[in-house]
Amino acid sequence: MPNRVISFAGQHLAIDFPRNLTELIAFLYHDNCSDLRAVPDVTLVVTDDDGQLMLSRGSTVLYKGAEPSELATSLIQQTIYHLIDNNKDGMALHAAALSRDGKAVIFPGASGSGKTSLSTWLATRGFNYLTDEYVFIKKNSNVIQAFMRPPNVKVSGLAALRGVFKLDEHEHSTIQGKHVAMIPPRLLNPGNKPENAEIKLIVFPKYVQAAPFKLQRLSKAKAGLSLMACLVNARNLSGHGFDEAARLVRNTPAYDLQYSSFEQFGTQLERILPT
Amino acid sequence: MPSNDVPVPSTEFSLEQLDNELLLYHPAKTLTVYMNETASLVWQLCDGKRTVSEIVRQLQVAYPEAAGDMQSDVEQALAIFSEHGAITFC
Repeated sequence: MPNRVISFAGQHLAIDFPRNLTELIAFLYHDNCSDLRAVPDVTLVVTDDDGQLMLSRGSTVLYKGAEPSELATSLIQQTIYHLIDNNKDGMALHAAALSRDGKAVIFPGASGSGKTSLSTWLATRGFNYLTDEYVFIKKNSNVIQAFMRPPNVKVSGLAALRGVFKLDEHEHSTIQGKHVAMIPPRLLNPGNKPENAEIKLIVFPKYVQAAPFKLQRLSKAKAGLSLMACLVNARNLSGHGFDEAARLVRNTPAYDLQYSSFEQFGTQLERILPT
Repeated sequence: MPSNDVPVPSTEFSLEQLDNELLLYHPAKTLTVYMNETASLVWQLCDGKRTVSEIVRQLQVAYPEAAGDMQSDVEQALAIFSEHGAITFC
């Protein structure tokens, strides 16, 4: 059975998979690095029994079904969870991230806040897509490491992207399920590449249907309050990462963004993004 | 709120001063509390010795232009601190 080691932020995870799923694994982890000398902390096992797909860890079944897109979603989620769960070396934030010339903007937010649609849209406008889900910031650093996975665009979000990305033209190079589509970042921006960039801006997005566009500068304390809500490995960190979150907002401008469509942005969002 | 009460700050919160505002964090409750500029000033005067009326008076002297609203501003801030367990009264 082939095996692939995924390394992120000093943690390592192995995936055992059947040969017929090599292409799927390559699609999901194309932009992630493997440390071949690393001893994995966790091993996930994927099996395919005549189309019956299963993902497990030890004796725990994490996914069972026949839908490759659902397996792909579960596999990526479990990969991220295990790589971040025990990390004690820095803050893991629920956030999307993009960069331009080594300068990063992060979009921290809960599921449904519009992180994926926004980062996908910005990638089509020349920004370097880094992640739509998790960023890691090592202690005392402003440089992010992003877990680059193909953006998981919800079906509802695809409509908003129709003007810049036509999914039906890329049927064979994307994974399309009932609820989400996974799009390789290179299809959004041909020059896209993984990059450890320095955070220059924090934007807390909030997608609200039919709402007016709002972009509001936040005080450092308000930014810290919002950032703490997006910290996913707080329990592993000294003081729950409170001092690290405060350090980040002390040094980085932050905004609240409310939007209902990309057409609303005009030049207002572009104006504050890293140049 | 009795004006002779003494607000006593909890020692279980970590504190970060960010410009003129404050963030408090309670690790056991995983609770983050935001304090605006006024609340931040009130918090800094909660030393476990000053009474509510002394805090009001001190801020009225420092900010005479806002003296009229100070009583209610201080009481409002203390009520929020108390609600989050950041202070107790003795």
